[in-house]
Parts: sequence; C-alpha cells; structure tokens
Amino acid sequence: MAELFTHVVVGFVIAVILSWKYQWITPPLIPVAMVGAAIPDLNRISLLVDAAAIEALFGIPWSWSVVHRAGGALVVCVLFSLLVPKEYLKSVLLMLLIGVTSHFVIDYFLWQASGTTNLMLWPFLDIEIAYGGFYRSSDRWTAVVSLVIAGIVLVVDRWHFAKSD
Amino acid sequence: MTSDILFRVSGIFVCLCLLSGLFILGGTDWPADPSQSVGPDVEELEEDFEEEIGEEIESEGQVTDADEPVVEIENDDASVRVELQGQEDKLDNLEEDELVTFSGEITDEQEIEVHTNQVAVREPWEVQYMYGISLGGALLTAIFGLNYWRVNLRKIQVEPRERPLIPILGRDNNG
Repeated sequence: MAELFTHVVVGFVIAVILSWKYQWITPPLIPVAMVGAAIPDLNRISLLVDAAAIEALFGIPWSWSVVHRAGGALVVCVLFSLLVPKEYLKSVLLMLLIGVTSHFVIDYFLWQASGTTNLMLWPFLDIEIAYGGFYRSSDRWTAVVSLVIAGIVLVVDRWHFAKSD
Repeated sequence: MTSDILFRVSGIFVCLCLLSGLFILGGTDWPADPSQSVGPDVEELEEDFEEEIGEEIESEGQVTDADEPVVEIENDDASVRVELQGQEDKLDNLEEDELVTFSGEITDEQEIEVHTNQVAVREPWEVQYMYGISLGGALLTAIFGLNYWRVNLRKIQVEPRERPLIPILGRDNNG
C-alpha cells in the first residue's frame, strides 16, 4: 500500500473538491474522509499485537488483514459512523466510504511482487487482477505530489468560498 | 440511557461482533486467505527446506552476502538464508543490508529462482521513512479531526464543534 500520509492527503483533496459541488459536505466532514482513507491501514495493529499471539492465546484463527479488504473496512466504517449523532450518521458513513474507496484505488497501482492486486473485495469476491503497479510504498514522490496538490486545492478552496461570500 | 445512545451502543456492539467474526474468518482463509501469503512461511522453511522445493514463494529478505547473493528471511521465531538466482540486472548490484522483495520458485536446498520483473530492492532507511511518514499521516488526521470534532462523554458520542479550533478551510471563516 502507499504510505498513510499519501492516503490521508488524497482523502483530504477528494473531500475538499467534492465540497465545492455538494454543500452538505461541511468542513467537519473533510477529516472524516481522511479517517476513511486511513481505515484499511488499521491492519498495522499487527505491529503491536501479532495475529499469531491471539491465535495462541485464544486458540482461534485470526487475521488482521481483513480490515485492509472490502468486508472488514465496510464494518469499520459503519462502526465509526455510529460514534456520531444520528443526524450526521449518513453523511459521516458516506465520507468514510469515499475515503476507503480512495485508499483501494491508490493501492490498485501499487507494485506487487506477485504481479497482481490484493484481494480487495474479500470476502465478497476472491479475485485478483493482474496489473503492473508502478510505485512502491517507500517511494517519496507520492507524498510530495499529494502534498503539492493538497496545497493548491486548499488555496483554491479559500478563494472559492471567499468569492461566494 | 436515551434511545439514541441505546441505538448507537447496540450498533457498535453488533459491529464489533461482526468484525471479530471477520478476523476469525480471515484466519481460516475462507473464501481465500486475505493476507495472500504465497508459499511456505519462515518456520516451514527452517524446519525442512528441501520439502518445499518446487513451491512458489513471495517474500522479503535482507541481504547478508551481496556477491552470491544471499538474503535472510526472518520473523520473530525463525530465520533462513537463501541464495537468489535470476534477474541479474537487479541482483548483481546488491549491497549488504538492502531489502529484497521477490516472487519466485524454490528450486533447490536454500535456493530460489526469482521471476522476471518480480524483484524489487530497497535500502533500510526507506522502510524507516515509510513508517515515519505514515506516523505523520496519522498525526495529521488526528489534528484535523480534533480541530473539527470533540468527544462528548456524557452522550457517548463524537460531535462536530460549532467552530473549528483553527480555521483552515474556506468555509471556516463563514458565519
């Protein structure tokens, strides 16, 4: 996957651009899309708590990878949206889903040693798509490019709403 | 407890149960292994490498001998050293401690033939950069989140602030 910084900045960019067209996307919903973009990377909890440790402790099979797949990410989005007041639930859920989708789209272009994409649609579908990805998660240019685009979008956003006052 | 809080707490409980179920399902590799690990793991290789000859494998190892080249594949419990063959344009110029990600076939005792264009090399600092910048991304998200949202413990919810702590976006300055 791309590193998390690029993912959340892209989530920010998409949400801000959408807010120019859809007035219901108010400023508090912008970081919600960023959170959505970060959700698949919650599988990194494996760095703190190994799945093998849980399997050994509780005697049950376990895989953290599911949050980096459609099924797990969807449940996490619903869970997070339940943390907000009811009147914001739908809009928060939609922004989280937009963020998650942006994460998977970016990861589609990630170079994989296997030559195929991840099982992004698990558990609904177990298909892998053959594709030659063109960047690695340790590349630096992705963060630079996304940051530059975010800066431009932020300037345009401030100009856009100052103009409409 | 109001009906709103009850609804949300019940929903969160159901989601946690669903999520736990998915974690367990993922561990059983149904309908497919979500982690997509390819080939034997490090423990299996350490136990009996010869038994895995002919198997496909996808892994990452650190270069211990740049001339052969030999990489060490390891986790917390086991490690094995393997000689990589093929893809000379990438493997002939390795340096010690570099990390090699590859996909290939186990061809002999402690030997792996890597598939064409399925090898990538990176230096250890690049991995540190990746984790460091990711931490930066997490902090950025947390800062943005706290700027626009607050936790209401009494209602057990996260709610938007009337005004952001720091105006960042164009609409923050509007009434």
